[in-house]
Amino acid sequence: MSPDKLFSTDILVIGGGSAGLVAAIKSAEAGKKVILIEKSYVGKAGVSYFAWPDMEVYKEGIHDLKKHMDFVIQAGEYVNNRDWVEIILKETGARYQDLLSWGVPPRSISEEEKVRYSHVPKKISDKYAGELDHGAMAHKTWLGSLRTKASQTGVTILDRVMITDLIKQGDVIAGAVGFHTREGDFYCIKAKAVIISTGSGNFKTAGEPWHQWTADGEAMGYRAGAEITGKEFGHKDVGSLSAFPTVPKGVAKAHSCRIYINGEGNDYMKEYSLALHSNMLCAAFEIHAGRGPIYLDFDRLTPEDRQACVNFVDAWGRGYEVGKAIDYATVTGKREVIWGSGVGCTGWGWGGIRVNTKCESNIPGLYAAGDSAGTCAAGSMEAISGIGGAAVTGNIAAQNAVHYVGTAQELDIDDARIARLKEQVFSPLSRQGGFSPAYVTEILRSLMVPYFVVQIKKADRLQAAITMVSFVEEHLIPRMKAVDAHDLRMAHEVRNMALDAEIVLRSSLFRTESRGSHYREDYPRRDDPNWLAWTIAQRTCDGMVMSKQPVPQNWWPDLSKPYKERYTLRFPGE
Amino acid sequence: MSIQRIDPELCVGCGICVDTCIMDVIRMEEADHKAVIKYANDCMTCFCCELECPAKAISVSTQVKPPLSWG
Repeated sequence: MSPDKLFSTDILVIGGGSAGLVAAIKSAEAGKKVILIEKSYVGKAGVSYFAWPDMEVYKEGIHDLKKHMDFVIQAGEYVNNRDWVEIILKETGARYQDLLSWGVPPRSISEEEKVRYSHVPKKISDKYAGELDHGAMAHKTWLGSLRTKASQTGVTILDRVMITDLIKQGDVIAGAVGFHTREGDFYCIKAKAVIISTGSGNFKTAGEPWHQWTADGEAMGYRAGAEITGKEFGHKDVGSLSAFPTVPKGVAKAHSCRIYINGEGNDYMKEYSLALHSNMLCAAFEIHAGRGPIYLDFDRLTPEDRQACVNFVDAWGRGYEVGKAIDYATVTGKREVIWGSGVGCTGWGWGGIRVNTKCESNIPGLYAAGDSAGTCAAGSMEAISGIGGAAVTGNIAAQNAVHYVGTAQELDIDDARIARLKEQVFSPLSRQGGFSPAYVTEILRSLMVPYFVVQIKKADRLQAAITMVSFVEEHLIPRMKAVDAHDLRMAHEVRNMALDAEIVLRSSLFRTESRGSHYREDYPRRDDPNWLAWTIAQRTCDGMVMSKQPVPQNWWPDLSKPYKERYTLRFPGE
Repeated sequence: MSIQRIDPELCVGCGICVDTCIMDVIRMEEADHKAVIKYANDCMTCFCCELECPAKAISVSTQVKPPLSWG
């Protein structure tokens, strides 16, 4: 049996956001045959399209590398991969220059717009080694410019095609399969190397209309045997307001003004040193103590801060995607905060496919870039990430994939296997009855979003959630029914999200300590002797197996110092 | 909440919204070459279609019943 669409390429890049576009362009510039696949539309896809188009640029001789690295590593509580922190800091400037040379319009940052950067709370910015330079791109159009450049460089772009699974021959990558989410054609792409740049995974409140972070790349990598790391961390940020989506981005500024109050009307944030880094955890602790709900009390804004919010809203909204949603009136009154609401205003997971500093996974021929890449640069608390990291990892993945395909052979995929894969991919379409993907998605979110599951964690609750998610994976997902190719996308997305959920829960259960964004009620302190280590989830014949990889000892904090000096942020009870 | 309407009188059939929609909610009607809402339930209310429509033909609602997140 032959697939509806059969392609053959040197390098297949999956995911058309900033990391994927950079990887594809760099690979094509090196003379390789490249296919870039995106389930939405390349140049308007992924979280890149919603990201503030700006890279933080370190300049040698102007900025202090060690201070910046120390800041990131202290924030990440010593489980950062130091090599990656240094690489991202050092190489972002060159990647920004690449973008400009490829026709991306630069954007000068006005003083008014710089209000955004005061989003870094004052207490942090004092510790911060000073601001890095900003390499900014024109709103909205910058990704489109990269699409144009990719086409000009000879990249074959396939929009609205969702890759579901990787294909290996023996232990080596041989390609991938998927389907067109409109026409319903089955796609098989033979590739000597695959770069996964499909973004991250995360969960949002049930009932919210939000469909990103579906962990497609992580899931297909896991199923192929890739190691997944760091999934217990993430979920840092309180989203915004229940009035979604009339959420002005000024709310993000308001967050930094620390005008939260709890249900008792108290300004609880001042009780938490942790408030420096995690609005979300502090809010969850208040909720857990029965002092919810949490509000942003805009009436408490000082006149200066209110003006800053208004300025920020204006700067963000101009020429940007949520202009309609701006509501200046929200800078007064009280608005309830929920977790993970609002376009762009959310936490995300930092885990992903574990890669070395060449962006190589443990599978020959498989690379990861952007938020899909488990670089562990951020450690346990996000202080480095974003478009700069996406461009840096996209470039590194491309360089090494190009080198790899120089000696790799194209591998045959036999027809019987293709037929089997096609049957698997389309199985939800063949059922006459079953669970709708929308139902399964809501069930999964309801299991994952409660604060006592992924924010304030404990072994018994994590185990209970694993039991329920496993049931979803074993019983509901194999019985999903899709009505058309569009619905089939939703079915594969929720299949990936359920696997991501299991990895998040098992990684969280495995890390028997608290660190950064990962808080365990039953292990409420950092445990340096045992947990200066990274978690790894991997598929084996016995199911998902967790293991840990120690952080190199020369990256450890000074263990002779008292705990309270090593860690300045306190969890409750510390 | 979500996409409410694409005004067929205003739609110029340029297809920008069809490409822009991450969730593939909007499709082009072949017969009269107008954009139509096909999968309204999957709209994630990102406003991209409305903001990028050169003819201002699309309206996305901001009205929402707040989901329960924290009790």
